[in-house]
Amino acid sequence: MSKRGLVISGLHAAVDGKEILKGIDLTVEPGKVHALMGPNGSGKSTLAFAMSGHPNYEVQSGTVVLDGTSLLELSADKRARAGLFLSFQYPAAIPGVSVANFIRTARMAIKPDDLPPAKFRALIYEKLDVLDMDPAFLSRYVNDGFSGGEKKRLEMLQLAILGPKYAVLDETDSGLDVDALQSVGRSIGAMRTTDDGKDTGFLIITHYPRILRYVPADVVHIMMDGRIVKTGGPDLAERVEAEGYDGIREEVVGGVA
Amino acid sequence: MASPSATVPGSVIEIPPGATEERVLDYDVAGEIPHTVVNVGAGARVSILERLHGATTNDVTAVTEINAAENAHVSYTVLETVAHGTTVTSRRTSNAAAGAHVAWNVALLGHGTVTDEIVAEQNGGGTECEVAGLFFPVAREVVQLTTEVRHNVPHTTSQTVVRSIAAGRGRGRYFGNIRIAPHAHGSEASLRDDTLLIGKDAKIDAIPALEIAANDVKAFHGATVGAVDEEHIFYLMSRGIERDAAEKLIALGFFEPVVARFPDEALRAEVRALLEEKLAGARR
Repeated sequence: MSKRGLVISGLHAAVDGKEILKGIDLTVEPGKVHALMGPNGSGKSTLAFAMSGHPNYEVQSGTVVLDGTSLLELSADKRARAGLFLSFQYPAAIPGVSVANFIRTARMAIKPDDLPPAKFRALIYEKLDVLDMDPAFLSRYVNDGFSGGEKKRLEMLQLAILGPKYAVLDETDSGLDVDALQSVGRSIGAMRTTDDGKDTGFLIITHYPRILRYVPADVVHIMMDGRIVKTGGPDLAERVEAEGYDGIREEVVGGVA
Repeated sequence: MASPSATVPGSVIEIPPGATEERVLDYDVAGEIPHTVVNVGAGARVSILERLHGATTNDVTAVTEINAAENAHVSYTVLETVAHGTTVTSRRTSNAAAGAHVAWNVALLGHGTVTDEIVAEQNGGGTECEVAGLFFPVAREVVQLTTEVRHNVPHTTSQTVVRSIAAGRGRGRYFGNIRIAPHAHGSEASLRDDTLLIGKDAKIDAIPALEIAANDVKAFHGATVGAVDEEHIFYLMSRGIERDAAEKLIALGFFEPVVARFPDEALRAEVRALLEEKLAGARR
């Protein structure tokens, strides 16, 4: 019986031959919210893509284990079926494929035959409501002509419907106004009260601390130059807000990494 | 009111002025000669579906001629599903008088060797022409589609949209032609063709030709050709969908802008089902 959790150990990864992740160790426990903060270019999104199995991100060494399943040998779809979800910062537009068809296909892939069509429909409508989304959304093509906020809401709708074991949210707050951010916070909050979602562990990747007002973090990590340089409680996010990243950079310069 | 759908043999169809009708032409190439002349009276509206199917070792020649009088509305849809080993060459023409609207919708989804040519003559002011075409050669199927819209007089408009996918050793060729005559000023024409290739052995050549002899016209041409975008596949796979299923979703979606132009929902559903069947049989 393996230990539960999303366990990243000694992860090194490169893009186009350039090493971006220089040894990441991080464990997200079931039901916990971890925030991964850091300045632009520190490697936060690379971590998200490397874990999810994007073909352009080459893992050089290290492991990622989800509740005992080693992910790095698996294709992206198998990682998702093992229980990993990535909310994209810039999700792809797929013209001609309706949101309804896409979400139904994804749900069937991840949780085959678990819901009769009527209940699935009820579930979608319930989640749409929490996210302040018009049901007309369902017949639109996936992200095709969507505003930035609509794209992020669609990612959150998928998160709520797919109910993963671990969710990595890559800059979900970027480009969102306060209303949209509140709906996202409500949606994640609602998800965490369900039987399906109460054990979901979150890794929230963000540049700014403001999303953490809506989804409070249990643990905050600071990433710089491909390494996690500091880990602490929610107060660490407050420090980032007050001082920016420069204060922390000065503190860690000289070998704390 | 539309008359009930009727199946009639290839022949001359007369639509009286002002009438509204729907027709289905069912041509089994093994026994019937798919020759059709449609004379549409002034102000009449007609929607015709030609089903072209069956198997034969004889070379089949299909001919369609549409004559649309003033202000007539004609929608002519071809659903070709001939069997493997069958060769069909079609030539289809429309002649539109002033104010007439002609829509050609062509789905070439059979398993044979098919050459289809559409020539739309716009002979009166205010004519509008829409051409929507799709084809999908898989295995060793060969499909060639030619569309040509001729703006012969001033103030005519046309819109051509063609989408094609080839998979396996499927071969396709599309000739998209727009001709605007020297005195046909004020005309507007657009031509859009997009092609997707699945697997390294699939091939489609798209060859546009715009001959614009008049000044003061608007003409647009846009085209893409390429493989399925890996970022799209990754996005779907990150939601648990297997690679093959992801490719299938993207490919079906790719045809949607053309499928959406087909005139009724039952027909659109049938076209989608045929596309799915093709995809299921497609080899990379």
